[in-house]
Amino acid sequence: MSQGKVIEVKNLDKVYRSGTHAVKGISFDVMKGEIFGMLGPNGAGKTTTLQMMGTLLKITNGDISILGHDIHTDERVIREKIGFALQEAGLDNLATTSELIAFHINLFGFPKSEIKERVKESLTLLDLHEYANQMIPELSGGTQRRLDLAVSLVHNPDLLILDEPTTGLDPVHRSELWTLLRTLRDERGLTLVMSTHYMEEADVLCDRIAIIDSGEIVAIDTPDNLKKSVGKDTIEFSLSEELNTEQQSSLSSTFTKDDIEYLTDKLLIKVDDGEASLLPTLKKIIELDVKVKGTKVKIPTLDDVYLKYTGKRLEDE
Amino acid sequence: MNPVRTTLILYIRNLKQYKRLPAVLAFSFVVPILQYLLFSNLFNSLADVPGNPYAEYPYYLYITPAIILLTATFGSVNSSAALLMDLNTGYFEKLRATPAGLVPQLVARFMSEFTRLFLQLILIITVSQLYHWRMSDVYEIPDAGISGLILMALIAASFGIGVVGNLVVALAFRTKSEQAVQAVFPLFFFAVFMSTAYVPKPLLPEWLQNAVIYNPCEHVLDAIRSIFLEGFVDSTFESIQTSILWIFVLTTITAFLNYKVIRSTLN
Repeated sequence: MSQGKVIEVKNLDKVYRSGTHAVKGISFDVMKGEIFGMLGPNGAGKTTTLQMMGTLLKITNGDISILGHDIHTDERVIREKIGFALQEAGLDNLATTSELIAFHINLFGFPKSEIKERVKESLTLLDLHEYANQMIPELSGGTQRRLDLAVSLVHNPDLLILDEPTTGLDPVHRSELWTLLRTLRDERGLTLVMSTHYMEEADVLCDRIAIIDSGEIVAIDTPDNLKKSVGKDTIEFSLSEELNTEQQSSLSSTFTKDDIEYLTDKLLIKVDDGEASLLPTLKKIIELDVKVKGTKVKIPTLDDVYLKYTGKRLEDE
Repeated sequence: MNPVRTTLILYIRNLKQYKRLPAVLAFSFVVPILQYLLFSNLFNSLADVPGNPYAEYPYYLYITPAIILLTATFGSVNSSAALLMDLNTGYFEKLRATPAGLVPQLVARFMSEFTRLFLQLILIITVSQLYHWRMSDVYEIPDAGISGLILMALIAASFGIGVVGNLVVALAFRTKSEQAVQAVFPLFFFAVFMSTAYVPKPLLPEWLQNAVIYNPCEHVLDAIRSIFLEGFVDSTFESIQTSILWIFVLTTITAFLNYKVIRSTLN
């Protein structure tokens, strides 16, 4: 394994029997302890990529190395070292919460004497004690998601793959899951690879994001760098009076000319950091006797990033 | 992780599932028993029809092998219930991303279904024996002994799981629909009826007497009936060999088909 690399994907291709070319020669690395996100609309190839990484789908072309193991030859070893939470919480409907956790602990080869203690630990980690003896179909969607994570983590994997982990969850459960995933990374040093089509999720949770569209990675970087690649932040000033020629001339000498845009009742000024620059900028234009009745800071979003690289808005997909 | 140990863990898990699937167990047991009791009373007089080579046996003894075969096919069709649940909830996929993988999951599923079916067949054989004792007041077991009864269950279960089970699993993977899988049952029900299951060969229409030799159910039935009614005589060993050959060939074909279907479904 290259220093610190948990995953190395090279020229990965997947063509289904139907002829669908789902993944088109993508390459990327994931570093230890990183939360790596794959952002894109449904059908972009995220799930296919994750399933190839999780040994669930055969690779058409290319290579994947997981924790130093070649997926072509070491499928079984890889399955022992990773945890995989699929898009739908795949659970045994004929078991209770604790029975399912115990079964998975047994499946990963832990001695019988440790099973009880490890079940307790899993229940505590995912806050599932009150559901320990409940049949799985009786659990809510959010609880089933947590249980799915619990069984994916019973063997303390080095890598956790999550396919759209918060789809179908309400905002409260979604936020709780984000906190839990961050805790797992911070406390256990777990590396996480996840797919999502929620921009906010990718932005808030991921250290790096690969934007994937029609089976290709169109951009890959930290959320901040991706957003910076779109352009500067914009401060929008709503004006109660139109700017006169003198004011416009003063503004041009105070700010860079290319950073200013005049609209009928609005003044737009581009800055590097919108939040931090708001008050100093406001002070400067008030000194020029510009009548301001409101302000708004516009920061580029991942949707803007998606638009820049694909020509489409993710929200519309 | 040792794949054999993994398979055993999955096998035990599958067996534990049955306690939460009482309908599957009950349904595939009750229907053959009801048919046994109904047919043995309705067609009791068939033993008296001239030309019946089995006239010396009461009709309920004649149809016992048929009920065993019917239980084997019916039980095998129902064997897809737990697998379908795993497929439809996504748990089968979840397990594929663990040391359970694909092959240990399938092997464990076949092992557990075989175990369940074998025990169910032993239960059916026990019920038919109790019925025989009650009707005849003769408290004897067949000449083939306990080992013969066990062999009957093994042959029937091998046919059920090897042939019917493979087709059912292939259908389960292809359609993920219980209704589609259950649709296979009439096919085997028909095949059982198109044999000497309920009517001895000389009493069948002539065309069916000629056709019956191509019916795999007939060969399995012949082996079971020979063990049950005649004991371990030379002709019984021949029937057993023939039935094993049929089961082996058909299992090989259906297992290959099953493998192709599963592979195409998963990739």
